[in-house]
Amino acid sequence: MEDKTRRKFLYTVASGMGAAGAAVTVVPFVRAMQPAADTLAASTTEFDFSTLTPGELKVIPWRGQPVFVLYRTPEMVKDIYGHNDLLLDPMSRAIPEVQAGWMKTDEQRITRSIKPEYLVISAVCTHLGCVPGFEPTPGQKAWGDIVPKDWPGGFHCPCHGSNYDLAGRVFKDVPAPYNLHALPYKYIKETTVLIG
Amino acid sequence: MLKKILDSRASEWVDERTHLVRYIRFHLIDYPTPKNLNFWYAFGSIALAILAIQIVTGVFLAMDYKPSTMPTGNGYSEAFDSVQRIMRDVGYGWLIRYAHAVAASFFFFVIYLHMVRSMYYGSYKKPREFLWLMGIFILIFMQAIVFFGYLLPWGQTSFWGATVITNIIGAIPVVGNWLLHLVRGGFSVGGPTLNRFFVFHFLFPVLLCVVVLWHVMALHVVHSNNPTGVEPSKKNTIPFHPYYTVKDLFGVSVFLIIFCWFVFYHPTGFGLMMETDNFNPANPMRTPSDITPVWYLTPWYEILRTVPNKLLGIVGMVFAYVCLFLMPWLDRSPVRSARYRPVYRQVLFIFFVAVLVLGYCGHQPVTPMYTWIGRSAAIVYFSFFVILPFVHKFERTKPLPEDV
Amino acid sequence: MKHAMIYMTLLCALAGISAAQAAETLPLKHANIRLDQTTLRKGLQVFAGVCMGCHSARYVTYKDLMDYPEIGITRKQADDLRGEHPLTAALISGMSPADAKVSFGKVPPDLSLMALARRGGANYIYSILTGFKHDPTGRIPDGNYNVYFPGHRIAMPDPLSWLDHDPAETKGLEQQARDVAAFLTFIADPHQNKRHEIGFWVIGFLILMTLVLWLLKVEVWRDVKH
Repeated sequence: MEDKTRRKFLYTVASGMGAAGAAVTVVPFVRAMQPAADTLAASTTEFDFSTLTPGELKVIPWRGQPVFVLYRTPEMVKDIYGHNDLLLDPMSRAIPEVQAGWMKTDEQRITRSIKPEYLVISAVCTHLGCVPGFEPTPGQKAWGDIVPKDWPGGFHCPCHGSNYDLAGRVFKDVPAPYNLHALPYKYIKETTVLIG
Repeated sequence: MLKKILDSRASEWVDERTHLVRYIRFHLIDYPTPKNLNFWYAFGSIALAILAIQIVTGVFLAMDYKPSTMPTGNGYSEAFDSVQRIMRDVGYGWLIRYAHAVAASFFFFVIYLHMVRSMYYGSYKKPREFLWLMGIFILIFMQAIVFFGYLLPWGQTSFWGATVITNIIGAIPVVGNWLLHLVRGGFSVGGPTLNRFFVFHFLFPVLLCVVVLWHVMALHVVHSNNPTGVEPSKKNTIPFHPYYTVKDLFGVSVFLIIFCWFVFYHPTGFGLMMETDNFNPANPMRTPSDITPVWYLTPWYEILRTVPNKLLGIVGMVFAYVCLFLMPWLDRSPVRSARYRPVYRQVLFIFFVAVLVLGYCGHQPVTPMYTWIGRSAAIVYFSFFVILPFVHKFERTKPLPEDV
Repeated sequence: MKHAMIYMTLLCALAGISAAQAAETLPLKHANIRLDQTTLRKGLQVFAGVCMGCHSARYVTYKDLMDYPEIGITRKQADDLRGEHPLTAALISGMSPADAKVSFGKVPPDLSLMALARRGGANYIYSILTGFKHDPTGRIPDGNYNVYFPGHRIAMPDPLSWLDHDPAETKGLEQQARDVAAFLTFIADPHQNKRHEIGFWVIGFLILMTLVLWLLKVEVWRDVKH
C-alpha cells in the first residue's frame, strides 16, 4: 500500500511556507508605495502664535492645503457662545472630520481648540472647497447684508455664501453641510503648535 | 489540489473558450522531460525567476526614479538624488534597489552557467540550433538592457561607461558619427541620452519576455537534451509536473539563499556588483583612473581592448558574438555530449578558462603584462572556433549508451 | 582532472600578480568600528564640529539625526545644530564651494557617500585622518602630505591636527578619527543595521524552505528509477 501521507504533508508544509514567504515579500513593496520619509517630514507644519497680534488671522499651508491660524481676543472667545440655535452642529458631532483627538472637554469642543485663544482650523469650506473670508466684527454694520442681522462674527465664504462662527462652526440654512474640519495638532512650546 | 482546480467546471469553462487549461496541461504538467537531468539544467528556471525579480523591483524603482541630469548643486543631479531618496526615504527602497543591482549580476552569472551546460552537453546541435540562436540573442539583449540601466544612477562609472561604449558606434566608417549623435541625442552623453536610456531600459525587458517565451516554445518543439546527448525513449521521460516543478523550485530556493546573502550582507558584491566609483556623481570633466565595465561585460571588453586598432577591435568584439552564433554549424561531431568526447571536452575547458582570463584582464588597468595575457586569451578564444570543425576528426568518442 | 589543477593554478597566479601590483600603495589601517549609538553620537560631534566647516552631507537632514534610532538626538540638540535652518534642511557646510576652491584649490566633496565611494571605506577614512606626516622629499607642504592618499598630496589640510601632535593626545585623536569614520559609514547606508537584522530571518526562513523542498523532491522522485 502506497503511503501518500508523507508526500501530502511535505506538499502542505511547502505550500504553507511558500504562501507565508510570498505574503511577507509583498510587505516591502506596499511600504515602498506609501508616502516616503521625506514626504512624511513635510507632513507636519510648525506655527508660533507669538508671531500674531491679538485678533490677527493668517492662512498657512499644511500638506498643501490652507489652514486658518487665529489669535482670538477675549471678546472673540465670548462671541463663540450664545448662538447655538443658529448652528447646524454646535457640538461638532456630525462626522469624524469635524472632531479631533485633543477635544477632551466640552469647552474644547465648543471653542474647537486646545487653548481657547489660539484657533487652528481647516480653511477649506466644506461646501466646495473655497477659502472663506474673515469677518470677525459682530453685526451687519461692517459687512452689509451678506451676513445675517445677528452675525456673531466669524467666516463668510464668498463662493456660495456659507457662514461659520469664530470657532469654524457652520450656520444652518447655508450650502455647506459641516463645520470647518478640525486638524490634529499639539503644543510643543508655550505658543508653538505642531500641526499634523 | 492542482488536479481539483484543473478538473473543475470553472476551468472547463475557461478552456472551452481559450484552450488555456490544455496548454497548461501540455506544456507545464504532462510535458515529457528526460529523467536524468542534473543540476546544470536548473539554471533556465532560475534565470526566469531572476527576470521576474528584476521586472518587479524595476517597476517599483521607476516609481521614484527621476531620469533627469538637472544639476542640484556640487556636481549632483536629480537622477543621482532620486536614487539616494530611494535608498534613504522610500519605505524599503534600499532593499528594492540592492535586490535590483544584485540580481543584475546574478542574471548574468546564471545565464553563463546555462550556456556552459549547453556547450558541454551539445544542446546547440541539431535539431536545437534555433534554440541556441535565440539564446545568444537573449544574451545580447540582456547586455543591452544592463548597459542602458547602468547609466541611470548617473554616477562616475555610469557616465564614463556609457561614453566609452557609445564611442564604439563612432568608429563605424561613413555613418559612425551621425549614428553616434543619434544614439546619444547630442554630442556627448547627457540629459537626452539619460532620458531615452531610461525608456529603453523600461521597454526592452518587456520585449525580452516575448523572446524568452519564444525560447521556451522552441524548446518545447524539440524537447530538452540531456547529459548523455542521446534521445530518451518514452519510458525514460517523466512528466514535468510534479518531478521538475518540484526540483526546479528547490533549485530556485537554493539560488534565493545565495542571492539574499548578497542582498542583505554584501549588496555591493565586494565592489563587483555595485562599483565603488559609481557612488561619486558623474563628472564629465574627469575620467576615473581605471575605467572598466562591470564584470559580466569584461570578456567582450577585453577582446575589444587587446586589438591595437579601434575599428578592428570592434570587429573583433562583434566577431566574438558571431562565433557563438555559428557554433551549431562549426561543430561537426555526430556525438552530442562532451561526456563521450574526450578531445572536445579538453578543448572546451581551455575555452572556458580563456573566457575567465579575458574577463579578469578586462577588469584590470591596461599594463603591458595584462595586454599580453589578454591577447593570448583572445587568441585561444578564437582558436576554439577555428579548430572546432576539425575536432571530431581527431576524436575517438566513447561508446554511447543505448538510452538515457 | 589534472588539467583542472593546471588551469586553476594559472588563475590563482593571475590573482596573485594583481594583488602584488595593488600592494604598491600602503595597506590601510583598521578602524575596527561598531555602529552603536555612543560611537555614532561622538562621530556626529566630530562631523558637526570639524568636518562641516568645509564639507556637507547633502543626503542627511537635521530631522534624520533625530529619526535614525542609531543616532536619535533630541529636538533641542537638533535645534542647537541647525540654527536658522529648517529642521528638514540638509547638513550643508557654511563654507561656499567657491570660497573653498579659492582656499584649498578643490571643492571639498560631499561626505554623505564617502564611506562607499572610496576603496577601503571606514578604514580609508580612518587612515587618511591619522596619516598626515612630513614629506620626506620636502616637496609637499606640511598638512597636505598624507601617506595613505594616492599621490600623497591631499588638498584637505590635516583636519584633526594629527601632524606633530602631543603623544599624550594620540589615543584621543585616534578615537575621534574612528568615531567620525563610523559616523560616515552609517550615513552612507543608514539602514544597514536593519538590513542585517532582516537578512538573518530571511535567510533562516529560506534555509528551512530549501530543506522542506529538498525532502519533497526526494519523496516525489521515489517513483522514478534514476
